[in-house]
Amino acid sequence: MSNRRGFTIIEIMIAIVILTMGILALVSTSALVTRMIARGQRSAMAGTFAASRLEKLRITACTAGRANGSDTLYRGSTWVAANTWTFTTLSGSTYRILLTTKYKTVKNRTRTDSLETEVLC
Amino acid sequence: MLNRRGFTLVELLIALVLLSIVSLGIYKTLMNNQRIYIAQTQHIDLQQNIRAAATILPAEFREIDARDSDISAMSPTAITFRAMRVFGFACDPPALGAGGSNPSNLNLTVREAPAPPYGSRDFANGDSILLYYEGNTGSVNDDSWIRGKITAAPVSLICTDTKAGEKLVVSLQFSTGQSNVSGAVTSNAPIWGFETVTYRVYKPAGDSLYYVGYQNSSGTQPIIGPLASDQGLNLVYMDSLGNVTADRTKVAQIQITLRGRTQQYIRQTSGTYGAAVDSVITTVALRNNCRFGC
Repeated sequence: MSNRRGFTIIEIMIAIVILTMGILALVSTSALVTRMIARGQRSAMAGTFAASRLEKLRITACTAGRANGSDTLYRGSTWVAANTWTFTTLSGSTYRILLTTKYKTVKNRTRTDSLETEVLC
Repeated sequence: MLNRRGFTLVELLIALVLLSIVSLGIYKTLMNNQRIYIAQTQHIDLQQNIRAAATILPAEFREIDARDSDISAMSPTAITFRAMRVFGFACDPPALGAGGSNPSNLNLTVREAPAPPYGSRDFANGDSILLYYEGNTGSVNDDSWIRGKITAAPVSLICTDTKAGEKLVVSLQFSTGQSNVSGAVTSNAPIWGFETVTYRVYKPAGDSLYYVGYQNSSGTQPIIGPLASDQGLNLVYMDSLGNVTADRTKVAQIQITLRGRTQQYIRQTSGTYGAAVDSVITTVALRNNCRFGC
């Protein structure tokens, strides 16, 4: 006659624990993906903010208003991104603009990106 | 003999209670999924809308030449300007020499299909035009553009070189340095066509929401939206120094703020239902800015 003995409760509990560990690992991956999406969104927002400023600087670079400076983007009352720009005179009428954007990503961490361009006046 | 004993009533009741608890859980999860799906679709629509605004409006505004009076009216919620629409070549130039510096009813034939004309549409009645002024063919110093206007609906006409063409009736306005003499505009002279368009906050008839409306001679149509309110589009006009200006010829940059909302109400994080709002701010530098020598 064949052996009809099933799993013991201990065996099943070990299997459940192992399975749970696997599922938890998957869940933590989805949390990571969610955070990455949020970071992407904030980086896009900071990118738009920086591009908007660079567009303004392209014009002011050729006027007497050319000066180093900074500005901040607020969402509600908390800051989300801050631009800092500097002009370097390359020759009589050519200027290099260096624009550095610091922005909040997730968990209050910040990240810094920079854009650089030259304007011929 | 087999054991034919069934379930007891108590067993059955316990099974029923467990079953209903489990199905209630499944039902709640499904409803939640459904709500999140609708909210996400609305959010995607909203974000695509404001992204479209941040692409379309700067692309149109960048072509504006404010120093050449391209802007004819401007306010925080509306802007009217000449927008470049079509470019072609005149196979048969207008017969010049009469009519002083403002000749009208001149016939001009432009090359037709397959291409040119190039642009988002063909030449049309009412378009402002810029026609290339050659003047003295031996010199480039007097080359410039003659302003003008198309005063009748274009009709098909074969060019003298037997290629496909289209006849435009135009009136021209010669500027300083240009003279209305025969041969001043040569064959194959380039010609630009412009139309006057308005981008403004617009509420279509029978709709309760506001949109960014695009208005030209054929009417107004909503192109982006819905907006968060009748102030959902805010335009700030600045001169080259970044100061706000009310002088239409001094505009060098336009800051566009667009606040869009979802079409439907969705559940907010607070638990109440309402329209989600998102916004975008961008700045566009106009062409022909004060650059060289100022």
